[in-house]
Amino acid sequence: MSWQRWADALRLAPRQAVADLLRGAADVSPFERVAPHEFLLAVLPRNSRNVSPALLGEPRSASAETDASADLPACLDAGLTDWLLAQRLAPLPPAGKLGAYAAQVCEALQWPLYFALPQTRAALQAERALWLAWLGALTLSAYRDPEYDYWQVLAAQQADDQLQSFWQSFVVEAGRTRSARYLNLGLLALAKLPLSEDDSLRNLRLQVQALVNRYQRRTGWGAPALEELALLLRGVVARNPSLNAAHYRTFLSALLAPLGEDKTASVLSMLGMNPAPSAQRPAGANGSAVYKLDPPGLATETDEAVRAVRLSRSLAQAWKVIRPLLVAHEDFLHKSGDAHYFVRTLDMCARALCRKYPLRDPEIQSRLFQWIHLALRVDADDPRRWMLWELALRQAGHPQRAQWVLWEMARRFPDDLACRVELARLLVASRSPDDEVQAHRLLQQVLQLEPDNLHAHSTLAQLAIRRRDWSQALTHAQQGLRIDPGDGTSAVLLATAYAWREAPGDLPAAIDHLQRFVTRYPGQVNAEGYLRTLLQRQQWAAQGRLSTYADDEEPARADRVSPETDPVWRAFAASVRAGADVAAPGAAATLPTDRAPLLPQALQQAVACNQWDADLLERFDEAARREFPLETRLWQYLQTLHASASGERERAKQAMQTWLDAETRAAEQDAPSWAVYLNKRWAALNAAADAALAVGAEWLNDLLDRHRPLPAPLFA
Amino acid sequence: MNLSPPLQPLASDAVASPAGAAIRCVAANFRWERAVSEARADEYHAYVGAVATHRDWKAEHKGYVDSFVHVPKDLPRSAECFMAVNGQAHLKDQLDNALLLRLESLGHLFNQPLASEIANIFWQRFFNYPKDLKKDKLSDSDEALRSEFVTQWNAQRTQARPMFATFLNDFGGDLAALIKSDWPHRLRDRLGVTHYPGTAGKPLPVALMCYTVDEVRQARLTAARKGAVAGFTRPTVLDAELSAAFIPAPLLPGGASYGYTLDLAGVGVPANFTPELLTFPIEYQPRHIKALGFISREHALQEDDAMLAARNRHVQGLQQLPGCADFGEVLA
Repeated sequence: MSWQRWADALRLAPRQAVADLLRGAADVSPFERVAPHEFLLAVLPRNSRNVSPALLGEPRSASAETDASADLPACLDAGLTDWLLAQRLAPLPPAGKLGAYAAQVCEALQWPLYFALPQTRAALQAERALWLAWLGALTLSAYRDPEYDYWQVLAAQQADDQLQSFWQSFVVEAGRTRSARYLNLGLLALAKLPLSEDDSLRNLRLQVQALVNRYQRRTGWGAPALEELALLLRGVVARNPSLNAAHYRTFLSALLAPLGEDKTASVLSMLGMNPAPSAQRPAGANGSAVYKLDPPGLATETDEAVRAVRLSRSLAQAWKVIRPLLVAHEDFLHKSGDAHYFVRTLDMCARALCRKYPLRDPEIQSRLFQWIHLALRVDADDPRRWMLWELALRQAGHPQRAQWVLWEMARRFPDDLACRVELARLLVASRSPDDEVQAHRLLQQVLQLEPDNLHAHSTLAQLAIRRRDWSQALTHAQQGLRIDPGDGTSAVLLATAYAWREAPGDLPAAIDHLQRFVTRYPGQVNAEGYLRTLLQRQQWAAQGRLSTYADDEEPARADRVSPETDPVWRAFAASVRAGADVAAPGAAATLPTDRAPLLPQALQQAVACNQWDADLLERFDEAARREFPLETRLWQYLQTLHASASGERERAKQAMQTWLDAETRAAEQDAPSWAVYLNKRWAALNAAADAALAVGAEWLNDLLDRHRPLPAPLFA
Repeated sequence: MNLSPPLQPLASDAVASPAGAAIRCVAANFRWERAVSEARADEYHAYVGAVATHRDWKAEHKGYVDSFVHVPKDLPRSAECFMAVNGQAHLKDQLDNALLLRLESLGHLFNQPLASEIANIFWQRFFNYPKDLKKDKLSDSDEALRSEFVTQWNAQRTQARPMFATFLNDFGGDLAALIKSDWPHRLRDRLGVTHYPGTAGKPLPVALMCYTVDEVRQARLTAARKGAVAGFTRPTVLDAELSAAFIPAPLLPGGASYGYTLDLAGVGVPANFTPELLTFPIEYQPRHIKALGFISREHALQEDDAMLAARNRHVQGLQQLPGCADFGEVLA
């Protein structure tokens, strides 16, 4: 049995032996045809496995296990740790060998799943974001995804609830920003959270709640979403036979209640658990109340805390008020899986705190960011969570990081104007010509969606003044004053534009304008101050003394220059830049054949390559297509534009129009900005005539760019 | 198989013999293989490149298998053995519907922390009740349990790798009778699965799987876009990792010749062989599991000498088939 030669090699040179086993060079006869982890199951001592149940009917072995291999797990542990750390720093292999290399890494990550390898586990748990960045680069398809295998390792043994939010997000996001495999992983991982003696149903509840959360994000699917929910619940029930049918019915009824009675009844019926008739329920009490958890505080308590923060005299005093409230809400989240109360309370309290105080206390800063990251993991679809993160970063003295967050937001939320305006302001403040171009582009996007956006006009006026484009400066400043006649910023900008132009009569015109403004709107400190400056200049001019208007300009912000040193944030910055590269036309010449990207990435690559394959969508199952209704429809429409005669185009256009009408009607109530965004972009596409395909491709790219995993710092 | 210049010397018996019995056997397999087309061999050589040692050859071979045969389930191309480039090895797709058998190890499921609980619940319920496994319809809870077990098992099967299978007909054609016998060891030996069980003291839980030729055909049709032109093929030396337990079979004209497994319990020169074929991968269904059992006894070919002798007997048997007298060679 030549595998023992490999065992000897492992004792002598662990890392080399590990490398040989993974790449298939090791002499492991007769185990050549099994995966290395199955070989290891065969040859390592049974007590080195993480789980090793004695099975019903298992024959008592005639020969007891010898201890000849007792030292191998430790050698394997050392060798694997070294191998993984070395690989993370090594350059990737050439494209032709990447598939086999990714398979090796996937396999390597099976070992700590099956065996107690404490050193490897500790290494993998440390620097999570860096591991994920490396593994993400090796992910070729849903089923050759080392990142998935990494998460499996973490899921298998959990000493606390730290990773709970990841598991919840996997369940919700599977099929969108992650492959559908993550749904199963998320559920199994929730089941592996530590058990609680005073709440033994917690892990089961978390699984069900995660599925409810998933359903609530997919109600637009109609019946298939409900069927999926029932199917997944059936699996959860099968894995958890610790409740009898009657208790399950009551338990599920309680957790499904937010879906409404009809849907709850449908799901229970699909599970073969017909809801008990109300006459048979225990008198005076709803059985499901036993399983219902109440949130720790009412909304009024949160309002009270926010008021206390506003009235507080120090950061410490404010923190003392909100900390216990947030701790209680986080605890409720960990017990219930319901993030609603936690994110709402955090948003209100943290926003109030950050608006009042810079976050200088390291302890408060650290805890607050933990909570903000948690909120983003469980509710990344709400731009308010991102704006809070950005605000907190600025208040913590990280303006560059705040800017990256805004860039990420701009990509995730194409209809969000606030992040664009804020980002443009930061870019303008940097005084870099490149940044100014970006700012201009962002503000034009804002005006396309909201022509009367005051902040966009005022910032554009500022930019125009800088480049001495007086006509644009005056136009935008005047637009600002038209939108809000009492807007001091626009008034000052208008005066500045006049004054700096230095045409005959400009300085008196500027003074006259500002004088009228401050008379009409007293108390505008900036306008009054600038009026004094202009009057002073007028006086100097009369005295024949010269001065330069450039002296009036705000200095460039100096707090943005320090380079980022944290590798996790550097990875985030790189991903922000990479996003822009992917979108560039001609970013890839051909579609790679050894990869199976998720649907958004596949469409994005096709758009970048200008390859409008008729059958691209057919590579994806119906569930995958259902996740991206707008993108798939737009793709189909653009494909028709690309390939078909005018009659067919008109039919496709009508079909798209009908779908968009329904979508915008549905969005008008809850997401008016989305409705506006859809209408404007569709109108722009239709107005583009011969350029419709290019305009549509750009729109599709923007839409597809939304679907991406969370940034690296949120995985740290 | 025609080998590239760097591989030719490595495949010669003179160079392979000093590298050990296992290398000697796999090198011989390359010399004897006739079912690999020129085009597929070219692809193989392009991947493997200029290797100088048997170790590097093994490693590059595994890389080839991982890239072109054990492909991820969702890759838009099938395992290469079902594609046109492997046409020389393809079997007739028009064979009558028949029952296929596979022996599956379940050991890893019980030791995988995220899957072990459902695997255990399933095992507890069905190990002693193989008749229930054969039922089309179980109670809701049992059906849910069986389905969930298979769902979790399929979730672990991340590759669309070709499935080694044989015919139930070749085991007497009576599944119930087979199940009543010591099927785990019988199949292990007849199918030449030398790595079951792992080592002494570690009984290996296994499942007897049974599915149909029609199900394979359907799976291939469903995956038609992946470039698979055949659902059945005979195994070649390129379709799995290098192993002494595999011996190529003579290539008969007309796409009618299967692979033949090495019988681990055989004692003389065999007159009959167990057919072996690769089927297009299918997702397992609960009904495919027919019995559960353990492989606890070691097979007879634990030592290199015994393996070499068994291979020699197998080759001698193959040479007695009509028109195959010049196939292979006895390795002294």
